[in-house]
Amino acid sequence: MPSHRVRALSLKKTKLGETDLIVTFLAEDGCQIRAVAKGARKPGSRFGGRVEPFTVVDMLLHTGRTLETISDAEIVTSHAAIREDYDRAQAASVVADFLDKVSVECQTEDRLFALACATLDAMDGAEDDALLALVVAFLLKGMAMHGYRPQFDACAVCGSRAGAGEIRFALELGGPACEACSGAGDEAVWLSGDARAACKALMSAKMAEVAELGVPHGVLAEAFGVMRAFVVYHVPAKLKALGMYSAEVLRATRE
Amino acid sequence: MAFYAPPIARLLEELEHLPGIGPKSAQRLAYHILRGDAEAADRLAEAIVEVKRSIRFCERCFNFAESEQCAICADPARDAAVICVVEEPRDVVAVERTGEFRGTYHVLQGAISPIDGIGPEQLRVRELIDRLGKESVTEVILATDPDIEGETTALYIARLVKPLGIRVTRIASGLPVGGDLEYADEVTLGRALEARHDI
Ligand SMILES: [Zn+2]
Ligand SMILES: [Zn+2]
Repeated sequence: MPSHRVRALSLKKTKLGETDLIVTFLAEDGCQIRAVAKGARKPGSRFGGRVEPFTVVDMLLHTGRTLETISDAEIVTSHAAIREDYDRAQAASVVADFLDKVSVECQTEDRLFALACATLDAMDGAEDDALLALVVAFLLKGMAMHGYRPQFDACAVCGSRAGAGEIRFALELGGPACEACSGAGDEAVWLSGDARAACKALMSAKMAEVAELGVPHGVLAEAFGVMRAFVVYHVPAKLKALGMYSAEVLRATRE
Repeated sequence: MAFYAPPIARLLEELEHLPGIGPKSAQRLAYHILRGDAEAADRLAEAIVEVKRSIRFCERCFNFAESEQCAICADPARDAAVICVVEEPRDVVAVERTGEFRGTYHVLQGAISPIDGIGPEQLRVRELIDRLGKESVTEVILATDPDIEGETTALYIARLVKPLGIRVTRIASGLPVGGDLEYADEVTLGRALEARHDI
């Protein structure tokens, strides 16, 4: 049986049979891998917690007839502090859910893995109020890598400069549409000047620096709402974790 | 499916709806039933009908029950001041096997898993909090699975229960991470229960 080594991030697990798991990973090259961890649900399994979501592992994979099988896994980064905090786990679930839905088998995207690791590293030690900023920054950058780089300054059709302040963010175009270019049926959402500035700052900041930007919660909540609409518009699969997180953001904003 | 006589096709379709049963397994089960005698098939069919008719969820703890309350809730010798919170009815069986626990249970019927769209609202969390308001409970033991979903669920419930002034404990992490509670052997699970800690 041919085998190969790969570094990958665990995104999701599905129960298989009595004691096995199918684990969905994002590999270092950006491809999605689905592999079977035999006996992983039995106590004393050699996998232990090593294939739990948010863990980065070095694995040896055997190619079987249908699915690949994990024959060995070593932890690179466990992101244990994410698992010890409810809010961190919720935020990290949005990251895993997005990666699960946009990554494809045998389709490389080198930057996606680095973005995923940088995001989870930042969430691992994050305070509660930094988590929403990290989620928004991740969605902005993730969508850009997925081929939908959002724009905030120029009309997404003709390139003419948008004025200062509030814009109408057209979901299909991924940016503002000037008056001359805005079609009647276009789905668009309002983005205030503050939230627009926040999106630009988050887009260009490194993940490790996102918390230091100190964007107020209300502004982040608005930016999150727009990015969520943008993701939902372009990613055909239903992102359930994103939906749940959105409900929590709304609740926190009302309080 | 057109290759099969309609009654076989119907059986295969029903079998394939069962968890863990794919087309191959469904075929194997269907042929086993077809090759067996009529009485065996009747017994199987009756057992399925009977279990659906006679078993429901306990109105207090959501374990399987034969009447409004399960056998454990109805037992006056059980200590109602301690509630052990588990994910599934089969976890009640696992904890009972240890012989270490004399309190009552609360079965959540799942665990929080955002990526699968399962949040607290899909679980019996509200009912647990209602119980804490009505019954005089002194300790809630969180015995959800030692994996990410179980941990997240435990953290969520701890956050709701602690402000009520009730002691919240988590079974000891002697349990291997990533495993299902129901597969833990009695000795390990018994020790984990004994060595629970406050969270
Ligand atoms: Zn234009
Ligand atoms: Zn009961």
